[in-house]
Order: sequence, then C-alpha cells, then structure tokens
Amino acid sequence: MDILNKLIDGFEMASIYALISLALTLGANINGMINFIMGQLFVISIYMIAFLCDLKIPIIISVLIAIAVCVVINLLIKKYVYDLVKKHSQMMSLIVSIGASFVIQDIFVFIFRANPKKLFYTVNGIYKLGIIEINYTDLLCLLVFLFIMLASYLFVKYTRLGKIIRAVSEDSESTALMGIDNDKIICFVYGICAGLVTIAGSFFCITFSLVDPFSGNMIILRSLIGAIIGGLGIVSGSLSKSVIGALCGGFAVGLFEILIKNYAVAGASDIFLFCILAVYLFVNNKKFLRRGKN
Amino acid sequence: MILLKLNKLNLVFNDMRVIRDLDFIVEEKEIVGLIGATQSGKTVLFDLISGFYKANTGKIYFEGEDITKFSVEKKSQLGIARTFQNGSIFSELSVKDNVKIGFYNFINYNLKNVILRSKKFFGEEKRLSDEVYNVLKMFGLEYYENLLAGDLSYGLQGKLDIARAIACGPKLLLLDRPTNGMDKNEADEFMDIIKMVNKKFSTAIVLIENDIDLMMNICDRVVVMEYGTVIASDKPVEIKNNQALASISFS
Amino acid sequence: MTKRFLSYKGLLLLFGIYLVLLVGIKSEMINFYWEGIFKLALINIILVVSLNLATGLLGQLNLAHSAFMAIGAYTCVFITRNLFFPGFINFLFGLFLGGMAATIFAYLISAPAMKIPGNYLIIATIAANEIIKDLIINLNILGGSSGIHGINYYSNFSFVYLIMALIIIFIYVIKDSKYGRAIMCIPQNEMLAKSCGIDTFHSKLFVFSIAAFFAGVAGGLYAHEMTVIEPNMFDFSYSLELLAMVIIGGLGNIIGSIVSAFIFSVMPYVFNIGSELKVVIHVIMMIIVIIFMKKSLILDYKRFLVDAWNDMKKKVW
Repeated sequence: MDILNKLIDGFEMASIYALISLALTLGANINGMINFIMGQLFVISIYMIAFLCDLKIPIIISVLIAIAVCVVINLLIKKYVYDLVKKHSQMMSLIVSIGASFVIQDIFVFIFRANPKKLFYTVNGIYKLGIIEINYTDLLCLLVFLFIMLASYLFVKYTRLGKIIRAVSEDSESTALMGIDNDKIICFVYGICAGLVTIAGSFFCITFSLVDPFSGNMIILRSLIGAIIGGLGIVSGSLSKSVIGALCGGFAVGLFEILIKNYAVAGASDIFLFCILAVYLFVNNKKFLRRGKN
Repeated sequence: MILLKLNKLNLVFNDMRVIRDLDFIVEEKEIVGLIGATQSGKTVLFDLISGFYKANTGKIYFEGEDITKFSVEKKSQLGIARTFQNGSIFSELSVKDNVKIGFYNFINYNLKNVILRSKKFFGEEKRLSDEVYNVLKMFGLEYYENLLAGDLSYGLQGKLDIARAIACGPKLLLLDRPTNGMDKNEADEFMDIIKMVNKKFSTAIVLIENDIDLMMNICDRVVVMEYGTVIASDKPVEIKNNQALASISFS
Repeated sequence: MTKRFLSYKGLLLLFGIYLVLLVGIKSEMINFYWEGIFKLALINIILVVSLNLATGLLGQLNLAHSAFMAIGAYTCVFITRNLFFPGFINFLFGLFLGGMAATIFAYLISAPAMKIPGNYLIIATIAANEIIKDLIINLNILGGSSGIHGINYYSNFSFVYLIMALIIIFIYVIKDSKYGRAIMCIPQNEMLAKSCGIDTFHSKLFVFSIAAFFAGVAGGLYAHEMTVIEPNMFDFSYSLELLAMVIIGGLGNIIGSIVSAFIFSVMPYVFNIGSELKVVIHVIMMIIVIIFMKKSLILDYKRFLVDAWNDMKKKVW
C-alpha cells in the first residue's frame, strides 16, 4: 500500500504533465505544428500567479489574470511568427517554435534574472481514506484533471464547436471552402491551450515552494513524450481519442517518474523516458500520418 | 520480342484491392497507350513496374528476368526509366545537372577516383559533359544549359524531363501524363518528340494520357484500365470507336 | 563556383587566410584571447559545415549535432589520457576514434532517423541529445556533471586550421562529382532520384555518418582547446545555435555556412555581448530568415539579391 501512497504523491506533477500534454496535442492537431513555447508560458504563468498573490490578490483572480496574459502572448506569437512560417514545411515550423521558446526564455532571464523565486502557496491538509493518505493538493489536482478530461472529451465529441474544431484539424482546406473561419478557430484553440498551461502553472504554485526560469524545459519535454505516446501524430481523424490519449499519456509519465524516483535510481527517470520515446518512435515509424492530404 | 510482362498482379492497400489480376505485355520498341478513368490504377501500375510498390501476388518479367522483388534503383539500372505526373525534374539544379543525373548509372568511377581526382575521374566527367550536350541539342535545350530547371517554361520542363529520362538510352520508358498543363500545340509537338525518341533510341514507351486523341497517331496499341485491371487492349482506332468503352469517362 | 574553388584560386585563398592569421598570432598582434576565439570559430565552422551537409543536403533538420560532438569530445579525452603513444599521436588517434564513435552512434540512430517524418525526427534528436547528456552526468568515469578538467592542450592554431581546411576541401571534392550531384538532388525530389538509380537510403546514411564523424572530430578539438568539458556544454541549445548558423548561411550553401559560422562565433566578442543575449540574437535572426525565405530548401543569397535588384530596377524604371 506504500506504493499507492507514493503514487498519490505524484498526482500533482502527473496532472501538470497531463494538462500540458493536452495543450500540446490540441495545438498540434489544430495548427499542424508543436507549440514549444508552452513550456515558457508555463513558467511565466507561475511567476505571474506568485507575483499577483504577493500583492494579496485572491488566487482565483490571479489565475484568471495569468490565463489572460498567457493567451495574449500565445496569440501574439502565433500571429507574428508561426503564421509567417507556415509556407515552409512542418520541420521549419517546429524549429521556429523551439527557437521562439528559447528567445522567450532568454528575454525572461534577461529581465528577471535567473534567481529562483520562492512560492508560499502550498495548501496543507490531508484526507485519510482507510489506509490511503491523500494530500489536499493531490486531491484538487486529481479532481481538476478528471474534470478536464471529461469536459474536453464531451466538448470535442458532442458540441457543435467541438465538431468544427475536429473538422478544422482534419482538413482545413475543406473547412475553409465551407465558410468556416479557420483562423478564428485556431486562435480559440490556442487560447484554450494557454489556459490549460496556466492551470498547470497554478498546480505548480500550490505544490512546490521554488521556481526558476528553467523549470519549464524538462517539463515540456516530458509532457511531449506523454503526448506522443498518447497517440499524437498517429491517432488522427479522432480528436476525442487524442484528447484522452494525451491526458492519460501525460499522467502516466508523471506516475512513471514518481515510481522510478522511489524504486530505482533517482536521476534516471529522464533517461528511461527518452529511451521509451526512442523505442516507441522506432517501432511505430510506419504509422506516422502526415498532416493534410497524404 | 516481349520486353515487359506482368502476370496476374495484385496489390492491396488498406483492405482495398487497387490492382487486381492484372496482365500486361509490352513488346520491344512498341508504343503503348494506357488510358482509363481516374483511380483506375494507372499510376499505381507504373509504381509497381518501377518498384515503388511491391505487389502482393503476381510476377513482373523484364527481358525474361523476374524483377518482381527488385529495388527501384536496381530496376533503373536494368533500363527502366520513368517520369512522374506534375513534372519530374530537379527544380533547383541546372538543366545541365538534371541531364547529368540521367546518366548516373553509366558513370564509371568510384569514390577513390573522386577523392584522388585521378585521370579516370576527369576523363569520365569530360565524356559526361559531351554526352549531356548532345542530348540537350537533340531537344533544343542547349541554350538553357546553365539555367535552373525550375525557371523554365512548362513545355521546356517537359522536354527536359524526357531528356533526363532517355539520357542513358533505357529500354523501357514510362511516361505519366507528360502533357499535363500543355496546350494543344505543345502537346502535339511533344508527341512528335516521343515518336522521335522511340525511333532513335529503340525505346519501348508506355504512355499514360487522359485524351485518346493524343494517342491516335503514335500508339501502336492502347490498353484500357478500370478498377485496377485491364479491360481492353487494341489498336487506338478500335478503342476509340468501341461503344462499350465510350461510356467510361476518360479523365 | 565549385570548380573554381577547387582549383588553385580556392586553395590559395584558404592558404592565404591561414598565413595572414598565423602572422597575426606569431607577431602578437592577435593576442591569446583572440587566438582562442578564432580557434573556436574554426571549430564552429567545422560543425556548421558538417551540419549543413546533414541537413541542407538531406532536407531533414536535426538537432543531434551537439550529441555527436559530445561523444567525440569525451572519447578523445579518454583516448589521450589512457593510450600509450606519445602525446600528439595519442591526440590524432583520439580525434579519429572520437569521430568513429560519433559515426557509430549516428549509424545506430540513422535507421529510425530515415523513417520517421521530419518533425518527429527533431524531437527524437532532442531526446538523443538528452540521453547522451544524462548518461554522461550519471556515469562517473566520464566525470559526472562537473566534467573533466585539466585536459592537455593540443589544439594549436595551425592544426585546427589544417583539419578545418581538409574537411572543407573534402566536401568540395565530393560535391563536384556524381556523388555530390546525387546528394543534392535527393531533397528536391526523392522519388525521382531513386528512379534515376540513386540509392537514396545509403546516400543519406553516408552523408549523415560523415557529418557525425566531422562533428566528433570537432568535439575532440574543442575538448583539447578548452581543457575543460562538462555535460552542460553539449546541451541541445548548442545544436539549435548551430542550426541557426546553418539556416542563416543558407541550407546547402557551404560558403554561406563558413561565413555565418565565423561571423556568429566572433561577433559576440567584438561587441561584448553577454552569453545570454548571444543565443537570443542568433535565434531571432534565424527566425527572421525563415520568415523571409522563399519556399525552398536551398537558400541562394545570390538569387535573392539578384531578384531584389531586379525588383528595384523595375520600380525605378
């Protein structure tokens, strides 16, 4: 049962990875490229929420303000960088997005210096269910995660807007011909992605006591692995399945990490994750779909 | 003399039978037209012959040899050349270099000669330049030899395409809709070039086109495909006048 | 340009630049600090030119180059410390074996690398980079995260220049032959290249392996120049910087790579830009270039300038 407690300890990070995986998957499906600046938006949102809470602004309002700022940054980058390189291949877009994330990180470090910032917002409280002890934060993260999983699945599968989003991700040429404004839809989804990343940032705020500008780098890579193993790029034509896959993949990465940390070599979880990714890509290389018309 | 023989070929893609029980023969020096509705499998047939797809069952014989399992590169070395729909040239290479690539299989030096810059290397490169010039002259392209292939007009690109394909005198040439995008005059001129190539190089040609009128004058035989199999094979005049086939929309 | 470069003019130019720099160094006009910067610039030239081979000529962008460099560096240091030959011979062996080790690694990852579509390859190469870095940190014989110190200093200016010149000459020698033409046509139309008899798979493998070899050699030179190596030097951000230099210089354009590598290695020290901003400026420039690049893999500044000149002339007339 000890293992169960250890796993429950990992729910916060697992939910963070899950939400960022979902953000990456949605962004990738709708726009044909993986949006690497999510990692930096994550860090920026943490700093913002911390800063606003320092000013005694209630946490819910802080989170909302942070969401707004991150959405704006995401859309600005999309409009003034990503859209301009769409004429090239997907590879170029990916390099540009990696480059953009480096630029944002370095500008952030330049302005705010690389010193870590203390966070004071951990919430204390433990619930006991039989022999299982579950932290208040763990429970909150888990519940939000499950809620988002259910909500996004139902949204994508059953609502009209969800269907439009699915259509645009599958075949944006046809949707344009049918009179749908692809750009608005993509912007909407990008807004949602920024929101998800900010919520993940708020989880980080209530869980950990320290943040520095480089926290985002490894987190986004691990979330990306979760998204890819959850089916990014392979399971196409079914955004609802991709949504579930991304969330579960990200969550699994978090659980895997906590297991390796506790039961095997401490620093090795990343190596294992990357090896798993390498094996996965190697085995599945025939199944990768190309965006747009084949 | 049978040059190419396809025997009961079958190809299945994602549970869909794309080529079914296909039999096809090309004789030496023959010009065969290939026609049929869209998605009837014409380009897929070319892909099978040249090796981009491997048939599930059936055999392909070239000059009596079973080449079903050969790779694309090996088939090219045997003397099968092909063009692709929508222009198959290297748009960032010069016209001269495009044709040089056409000679790839017939340049006789290896990496050691290249690094040591031996006499053999320079000799072969000189011979290559001369042969390339001759080929360009044959197609009237010699004034464009240093231009980038992507800068040429559509008609000239088509000529360059053929020049590259027949550079090393292949025995079989597969042309996939070469007159796509050309107007009537350019297309007729192009058909004359094909006739010239056939006579001069004794190359057997299989030609996919959408318009049966283009094939009237130059094809010895026209083959009609539908749903992945051959449904008719006869002289062009007969095919054109055949009432049963007239209902099939050729596109 | 290739023919002329390989002829005496090009070799003279290479040699001439060498003499100028050598005189500067020996006469103390170029002091030790700047000599080090130039040497790093030469090493970067090797890296950028080999990366250009692997990406510009193959049409696949990859971020694994700093991993190859790391493997080459650590292997070379291991050899120079443990092999029984006299100092400099050890170094030669180290460079060669470092290159070979990088090539072996490239060979191992090339099988999937060929089959995975471009953007996943980039992620896979990031993963490969991180795996190598983590392995180095976790294996104590490789010095762990504090790296290896006190490496012997073998990379003097003449030797580094010689290696760089040999590599550049090698690349031009290959480029102006049937192999070079074959390699250049693969990214433009791979199916067509195959149907012309070019074995695209082995060609790509060959180029990828050669590029890794050069990167490994550069890693060995780097280690013995800096005398200290640690895993953080070989982060994939270095790969990204190299890729930025390749793109700004022009994919497939060797001289462009040389120029951009040199400029970007030397500029930050001329203007005293701190290391934080250095990467930012490179990457921003890369993004700007990509935005304005025409949709083709081979960027030709000459054509770009010629077109711009013609446009201007039209507007004036």
